[in-house]
Amino acid sequence: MNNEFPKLSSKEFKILQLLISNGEMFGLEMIESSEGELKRGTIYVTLQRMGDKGYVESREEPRTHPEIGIPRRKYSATGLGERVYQTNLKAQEFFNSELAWGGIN
Amino acid sequence: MRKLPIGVETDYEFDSYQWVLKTLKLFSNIFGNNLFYQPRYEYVRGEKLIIKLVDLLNENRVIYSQIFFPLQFDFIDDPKILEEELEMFAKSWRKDILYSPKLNQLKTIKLTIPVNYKLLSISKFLFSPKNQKEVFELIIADWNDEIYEVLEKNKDASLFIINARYTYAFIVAMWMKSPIGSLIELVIKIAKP
Repeated sequence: MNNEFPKLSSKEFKILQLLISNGEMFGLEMIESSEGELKRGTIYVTLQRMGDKGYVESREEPRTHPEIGIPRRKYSATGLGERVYQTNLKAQEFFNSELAWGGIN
Repeated sequence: MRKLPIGVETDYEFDSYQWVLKTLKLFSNIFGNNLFYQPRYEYVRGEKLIIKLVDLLNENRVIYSQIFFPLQFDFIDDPKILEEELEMFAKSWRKDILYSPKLNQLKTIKLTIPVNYKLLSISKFLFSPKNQKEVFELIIADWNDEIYEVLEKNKDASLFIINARYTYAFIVAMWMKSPIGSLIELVIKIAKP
């Protein structure tokens, strides 16, 4: 049993949230959908790190004619990524609930 | 003073890119060192190098022509022969475009390298191929996408804001991938309660 709790940073949390709710996405799409939470300079560094941890996977998306250029990558959440996201979401919900503060008598 | 943007599309390999630069330098010698170099985001894998001429001579009107030629020069090992071949090609190319009445109106053409390609060559020098592929090239791909999106709507749109935004983004990414940036990030992470 793994006792280590996989904590997500706010950026990682947002990325997984977007990928789980929208499916495959480009980095730029995530930036546009995040309402300012994700930035152009940090998203790919974060995605790379998440890929190394196994939270996201990506595939090269070739350009379609006549649009050709440096290929972009489409990202999606892995099974592990989804589980880690759900765990963090539940932890967050519990932390914000009354129960966590001993409010229910 | 008018500039003639020349889009060069390559297979995006650094060597080919260097090769393109070399070719353009040669062209620029023939054109009097006055070419404006503007790679567009298109590129072709492998077989062909395409040079696109975008004629901006008429107000609000872009005339677009393409010159294709095979990368056969790649296989010429002897730099002297390569240079001769290129020079021959460049001369015939010049002959073609000199007959274009619009290009005849050109007064000045200048050779420059766009900022995104300059930055990419710096990151290529400083970071691993993995980082180059998974971080920096993707920033450039988005950068080009945004440029194209704007140019689709208005061919004469200013790209200053996009270039400034992405230059900043690129520098931030380089900072984050640098050992000092990673160290600071680690310290912040540890310091957080």
